[in-house]
Amino acid sequence: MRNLLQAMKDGYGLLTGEGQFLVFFLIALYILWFFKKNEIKELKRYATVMLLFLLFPLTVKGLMLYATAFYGYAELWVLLPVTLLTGFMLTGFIFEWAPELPFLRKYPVWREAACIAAMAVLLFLCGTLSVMPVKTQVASMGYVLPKETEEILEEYVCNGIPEGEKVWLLAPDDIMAYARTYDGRICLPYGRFLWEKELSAYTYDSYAADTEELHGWVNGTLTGMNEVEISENYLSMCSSKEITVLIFEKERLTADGLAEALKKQDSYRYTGETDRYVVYRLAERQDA
Amino acid sequence: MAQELAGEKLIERSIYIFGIAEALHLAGLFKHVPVSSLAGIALPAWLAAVVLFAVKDMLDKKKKKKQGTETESGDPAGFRKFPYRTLLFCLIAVLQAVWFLMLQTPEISGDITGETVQTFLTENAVYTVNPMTGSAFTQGMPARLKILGLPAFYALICRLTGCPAVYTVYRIMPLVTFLLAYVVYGLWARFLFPKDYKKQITFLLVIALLFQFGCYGIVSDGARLFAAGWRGETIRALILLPYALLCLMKKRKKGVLLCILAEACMVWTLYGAGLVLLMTVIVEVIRYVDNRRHMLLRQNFKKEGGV
Repeated sequence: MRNLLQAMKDGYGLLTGEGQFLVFFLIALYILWFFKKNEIKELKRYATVMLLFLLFPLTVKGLMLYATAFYGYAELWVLLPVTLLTGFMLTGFIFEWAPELPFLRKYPVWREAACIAAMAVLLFLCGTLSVMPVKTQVASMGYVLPKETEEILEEYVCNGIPEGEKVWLLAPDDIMAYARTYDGRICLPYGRFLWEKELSAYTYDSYAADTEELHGWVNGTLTGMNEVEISENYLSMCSSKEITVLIFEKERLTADGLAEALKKQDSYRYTGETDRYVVYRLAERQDA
Repeated sequence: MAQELAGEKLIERSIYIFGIAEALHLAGLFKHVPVSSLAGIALPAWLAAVVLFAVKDMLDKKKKKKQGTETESGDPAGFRKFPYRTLLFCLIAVLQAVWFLMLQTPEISGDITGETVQTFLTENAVYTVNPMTGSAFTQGMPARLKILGLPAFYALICRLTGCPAVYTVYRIMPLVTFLLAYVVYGLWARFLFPKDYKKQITFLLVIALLFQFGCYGIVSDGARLFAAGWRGETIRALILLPYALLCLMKKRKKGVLLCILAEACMVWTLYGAGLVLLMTVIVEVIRYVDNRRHMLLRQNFKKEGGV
């Protein structure tokens, strides 16, 4: 029960974020029940029943089981016609209640325009202008994926792959996340589901602890990584697994033992760098 | 029978087109037909479907002309009466499309459609390797995810048009979802405010503002529309569920059935039973209870000697 309540709390947080549109929806339902009793009766009843289902823990449990627990609590709220009813209520407000307002009585068209403008301001204040501020990034003109990622994949990973061959890449998560979307010829030693746990539902495959450590090493999150020996071991492991391209964040080459390990080995050769990353390529492949 | 609106035709025919892709996807999955061969079948199948739709429309038009019933047309009079409001809505919609197509990086967390489409195209086969790594599966993949046809649909479009998968998945398909979502809300506008163009266009304007400013949570309608328009969950939330609800209100069984089937082919469901089906059941139960209540009230009224 505690897990369920926690899931509901988290889901509600995901659903509302920093916005207050759900309040508009509740106001819309209130208005429909108490002021517009004869309008869109079935829709109103459905919305009310669904809202109760989504708030009552037992029915939530049932709904989550129905959704096979693949989708979380927040996803279930798509069943509620929030945008529809809010839109209906706000439109009704503009046409039915706005004429009662005292200002601009002589200019009905301007009054409607003023109401729409005021409503836009209200929605802006209760919502946001940026898409999910935490998660998405602004794309650069002409790029679909993050610019630096796309550039590095084009220039240093996909450039010159022979016909019918594949290239193995090991890089920080920011690049690995987009690598296979960018080009299907790029193969990865581990998939995105290693660090995005919700993606593990998409496959039964799993990874051994050493793969998780490899992920930690390339991302700079592995403990004790400042030792040169550890990096040397991972570099030799990468070359034995024939990982063609290695990419590291530039700042790591000054902070831990990786820079020294890279100097000592001869399997990988420096190929190039961008503002944020530095690229190494398997020597044999470069010579070929 | 009520006249089928152009928007309804568009939504339902889009589902039919997707249905063909789903059938081809299953052929690729179970019969191991290469994606290139599937594309070779998809093109004539889709063209045949479009021709059939056009022929059906022509026959319907002729039939209605003979019967003397009016055919549906747009509302140019409404547009002429309220041009500023209409233009404002169109301007907002266009700006929204430009905004999310040019400036937003796709929200890929929790989704592997892009990788899957690229994998289908590179391997020229359906689910022969793990889309997230490019190497063979060690344990496999849940069958109920494998049967979902959206990645194959996108891969077929890539194969036929030559458009890169990144653009097809993250730019073109979200635009299609965006347009269809407005079509659905346009149909709702006609349903909620029949023969009142002024209210209809204002309703759409309000919806556009709700989408624009409602991007605050990862599952809010606005965020889905602008950052994840290619996903099955987005199509369900913004097209299938509102359209099925509209069909339920209008008692159009065909539309509801199509949405139930489309959902089963697009998102993870309980052996085909998805949220559209659940919504249908709830609406029908509410309707049944309401009818029963009215019947009992009428019986009581008669018993008490009412006329």
